[in-house]
Amino acid sequence: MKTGFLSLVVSLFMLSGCVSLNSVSLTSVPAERNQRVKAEAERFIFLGFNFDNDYVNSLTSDLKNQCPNGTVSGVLTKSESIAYFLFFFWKSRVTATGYCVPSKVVSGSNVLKKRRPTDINSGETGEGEIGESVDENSAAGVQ
Amino acid sequence: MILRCLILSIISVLFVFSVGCTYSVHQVPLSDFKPYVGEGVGTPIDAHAKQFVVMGFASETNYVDQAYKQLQGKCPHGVVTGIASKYYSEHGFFSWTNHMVMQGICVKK
Repeated sequence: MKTGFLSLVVSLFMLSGCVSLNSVSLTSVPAERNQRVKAEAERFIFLGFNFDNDYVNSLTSDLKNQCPNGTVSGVLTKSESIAYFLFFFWKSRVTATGYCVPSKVVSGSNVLKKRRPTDINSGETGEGEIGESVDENSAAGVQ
Repeated sequence: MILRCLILSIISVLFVFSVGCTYSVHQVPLSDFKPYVGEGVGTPIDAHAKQFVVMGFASETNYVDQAYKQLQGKCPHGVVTGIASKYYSEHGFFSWTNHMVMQGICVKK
């Protein structure tokens, strides 16, 4: 009975992790907060042997994929370390949560309004530089 | 007399260690200003969340999300920009309290 209880306590101690926060970052929070996006990347590390930090690279594309036609804004990024049994093992976790703000449909008049005076010739030929005329914020991407 | 002195010293030591007397600032992240607003435009808002930790045993860091949600709750129909956060710890006896303070500017649409 006593041994069973002890082994239960020891296994709970070994399996439960102690979380500590390494860093936090934030971007401006948009007014439209209907669509939430979240991405998470983590890596299990044994005795500190970690040869690269590439696991973090997928975060940006994960967020972009969840918001293909909008802008990701209000991104809260947390970097945490979860230490397991006597710091022999630990996990690094990066979590990013934000909001997808759908980009507005660009009408022809908007394009004309935003066109620079130097682009006036391109309008005549029908080669409108929509990509440049659209506000850079409306392009799909992470702010 | 000796017993009284001993009790008094124990109480003094406990008092000193139980009250957070040292602070440590870990990070002060600042967000972008989008949209950029001039001085005096918008309403300053703030949020604060904390977590009490004994000997490093903590299973989550949800207090950060709480502060973030609290900040948004104070600006329901506007943009929160220029967010200055402060992540610091208040130390106690074999324990500490993690604090997350967020201050921003609420710009109504």
